[in-house]
Amino acid sequence: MCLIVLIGSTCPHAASWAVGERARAPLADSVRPGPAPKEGQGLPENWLATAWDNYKRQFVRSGRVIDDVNKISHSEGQGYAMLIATKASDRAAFDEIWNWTRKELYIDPSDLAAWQWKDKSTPNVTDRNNATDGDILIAWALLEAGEKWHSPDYVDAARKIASAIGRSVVAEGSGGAVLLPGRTGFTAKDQPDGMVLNLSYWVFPAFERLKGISPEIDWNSIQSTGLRLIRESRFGPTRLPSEWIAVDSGKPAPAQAFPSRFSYNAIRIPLYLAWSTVNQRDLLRPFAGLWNDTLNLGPFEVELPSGAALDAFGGNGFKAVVATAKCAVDRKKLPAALQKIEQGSYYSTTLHILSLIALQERYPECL
Amino acid sequence: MSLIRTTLFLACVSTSVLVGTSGIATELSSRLSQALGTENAPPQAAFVLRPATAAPLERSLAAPLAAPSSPLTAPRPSLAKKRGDPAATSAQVDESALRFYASQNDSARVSMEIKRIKILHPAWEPPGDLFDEARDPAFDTKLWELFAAGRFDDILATVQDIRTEDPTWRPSPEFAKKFEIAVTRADLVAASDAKDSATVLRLAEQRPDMLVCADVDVMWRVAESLVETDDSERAQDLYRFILVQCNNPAERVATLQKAMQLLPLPTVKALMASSGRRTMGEKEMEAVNLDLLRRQIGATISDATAPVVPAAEMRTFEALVTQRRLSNDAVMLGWQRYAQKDWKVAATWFKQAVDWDKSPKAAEGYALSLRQQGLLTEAEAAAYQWRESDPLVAKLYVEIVATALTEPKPAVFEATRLAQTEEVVAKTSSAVGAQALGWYYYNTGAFPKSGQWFAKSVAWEPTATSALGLALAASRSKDQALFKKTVAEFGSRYPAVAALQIDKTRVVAAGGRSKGQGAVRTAGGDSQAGLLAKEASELFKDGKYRDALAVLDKRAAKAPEDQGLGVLRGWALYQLSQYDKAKAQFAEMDKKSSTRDTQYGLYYSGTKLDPTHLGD
Repeated sequence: MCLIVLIGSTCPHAASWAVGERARAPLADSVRPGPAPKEGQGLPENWLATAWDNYKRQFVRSGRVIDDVNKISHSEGQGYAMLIATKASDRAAFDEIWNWTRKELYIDPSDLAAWQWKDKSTPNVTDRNNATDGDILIAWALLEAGEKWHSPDYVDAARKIASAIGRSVVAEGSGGAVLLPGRTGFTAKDQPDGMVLNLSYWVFPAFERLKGISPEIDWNSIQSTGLRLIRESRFGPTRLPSEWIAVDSGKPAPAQAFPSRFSYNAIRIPLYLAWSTVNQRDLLRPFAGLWNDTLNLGPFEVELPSGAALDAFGGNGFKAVVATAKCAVDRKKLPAALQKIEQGSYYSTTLHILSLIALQERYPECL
Repeated sequence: MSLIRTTLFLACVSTSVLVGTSGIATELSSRLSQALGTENAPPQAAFVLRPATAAPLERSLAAPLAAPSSPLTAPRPSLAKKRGDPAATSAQVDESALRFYASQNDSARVSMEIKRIKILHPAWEPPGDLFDEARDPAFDTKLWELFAAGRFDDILATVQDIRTEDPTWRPSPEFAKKFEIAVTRADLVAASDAKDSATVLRLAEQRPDMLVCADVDVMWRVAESLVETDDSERAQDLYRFILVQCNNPAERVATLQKAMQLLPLPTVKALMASSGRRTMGEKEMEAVNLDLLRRQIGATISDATAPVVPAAEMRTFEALVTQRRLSNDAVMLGWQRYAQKDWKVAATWFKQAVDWDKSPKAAEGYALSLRQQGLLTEAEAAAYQWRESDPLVAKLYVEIVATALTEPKPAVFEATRLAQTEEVVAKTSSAVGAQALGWYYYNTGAFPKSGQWFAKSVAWEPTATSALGLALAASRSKDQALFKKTVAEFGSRYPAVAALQIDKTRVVAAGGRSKGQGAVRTAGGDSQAGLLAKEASELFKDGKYRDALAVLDKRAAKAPEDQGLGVLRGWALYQLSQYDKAKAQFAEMDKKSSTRDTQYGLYYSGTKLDPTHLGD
């Protein structure tokens, strides 16, 4: 989703489609000193079960995942939670979240999920456009669950979504296959500076899995285009990607309709890069320095033309993402303070759990 | 002979060690640039050999040295002075901390520092190159390691591996450029080694950025190819470029030495003059000047028409050679004097070199110079002393004693001298020496011993005269079996030997005398011509060679000269040191009818004209 604060009249073409910044979480939680497991001992055996229990209690109501900061639900949140439930082997919770998602968000003949769901609106879905990363996350989670619990239904559902992705949001652009952020509103016809893309929608670890059930989609091309765009989207002195890029003339540029900023969307790019097997240390390097763990400085949202720091990201989850990048680049160990999932906002907590899963799966030596 | 020798005296110029592996095909180069995703450098019509080409590179290499000191110690901008100054430019802003944080890949502090500076200097723009060095070093390090090891094929494979994972990955522009240059360089070196000048020049034109001071070897090779394709002017440009632009004094000296090998001396001198503003160390300059003089002196030895080296320069050179005891140069000076027939001074130089360095080449020159002065005893002694140092000296010794042994009136050889001679002749298996000993013993009546030496000579290298000597010695020793065997064996090959069979008596009578001495058979009886012939023979016996010749000329106007008188004429010319005329005389007679006399005369007059190629 990632498109939370409504910009209203400044929105690009798709009027009903909220395109904007991901809201900031309150600066509530920083890394607190306190009793933490010693470094080098790895994560506690039951860390994920504990974290998932807390997560469910805090953010999941009858299968609906609540973004507490933005007071809404969205396809991305459903996807993240399904993925964590699978990793935590909680089939009951997985079923509940998937059933809610299918019933409430997959209401469009396009077979793509409506990107947001508001409790206070009638109907709850007012914009049927999708957010492509949400669909990718849900399909990926379904595929993992299908294999874990030997459920062909989940795999079929994953295949159906993947196929819809291939039909509606995989496009040719910028010299290869790209993922449109949503099925409407992002082509060159819709935007002043050409096709607009969101690099944090390239969920690289999912591509590797989805290849197997949707061979009709050129996931290799999608992947290599994404890698190239990340390499070429090094804007300003801090050479960071902007949240949204326009790829009109091949070389990407910060999209005009959005603030030229490194923020809550793009912070996920290093997580997905590190988690996947593409092994792109070079691409991770600009992200690895976003948090100075010695001084506990950052990570900051960055104003890209100047490279100047804006506000710090609110939450340990963002530090965990940077720590994952540091591990991937320099095999730096995860700081002890980040081994425990603190109570935080939905987004920070989600990224924290995902970072630890990624570290466990790809870099156990950093734990 | 001296032509070949002089080249040895020229100082060899060491060529630098080549970095790249040779023999890399050009095709590989294009494959690599495809794999690297780099485009070929745009071809240039002609490489510009002006200072402008290399200067930017030198500047860029020098730039890091000029960078400010440690960013940690550099002063921070003063708040009071700079606060809010909208006109502040990057020149006034201290970016050292910023650059330091960037060098640590510490984006958090970089973006905070940018924020801080921006507040102080709103007009300031942060530099765009902060993280240029922050590129992932893993791949690059590996590529550079392979590069350093010259493993170009592995570089290709590695790049392809990386690009399989990420088709968008590219090596750093710096690496790509260095790599392309290295591949081209390897091709160029291979072409240069193969003397393929056209390819060398094509590659140099393709990548003129190879022509830099850091790699003078390539420039030398290109210059050589230019000379070989008759483009001496551009070769000079290139040499001048090195002399003016490049900093390594040793390489500048070597450059001049290279130029000396390939370009005419006046051109090299002009080159030195036009690039002379650059100070060269005194030592280097002296080395170059010495080489120049060596070239000039060497030229006068092998080429009589070469310009004379000015006397003042000769004196300087000679003084230096004496002072430094440069034995190779002393030998060269010896040959120079030898070529000028200044045997005495030649001998002095050779002797110096012998004393300084025990040089065999000097010993040979010394003995030759002594002999040319007529100091035969000294020449023989010197050659004997140094006989072990060089086969040529031993050969020379044999030649000297062989001459002495076969003099028209040979002095009696004392026992030790004879023993020395036999020892060296045996050791060197000298057919000429053995033959001379054969004649010596023959003329002193020791026929069995004579036969033994003739037999050795024939065994080592049969000639008409040695076979003849063997037959004669056998005959005089009353060894009919050996005589018949020799005649049978060599008669078909040498008419002179066959003739023994026909007129044994006459030949035996003639064979008793060696080398024309009294071996004159008059042709005209009591006629006037006959009288003149007798007179010429008498004059010859008395050593009045010039008069003998005059009488022979007189007689030749009246009657044709037979071989006996022709031989007399040849030896008269020989005794008057007119070796070329003597040789021509013997050659003409030998052509008509080859006999022992004509062959002997031909041989000795020939060796006088070319003493070192004795018997060759």
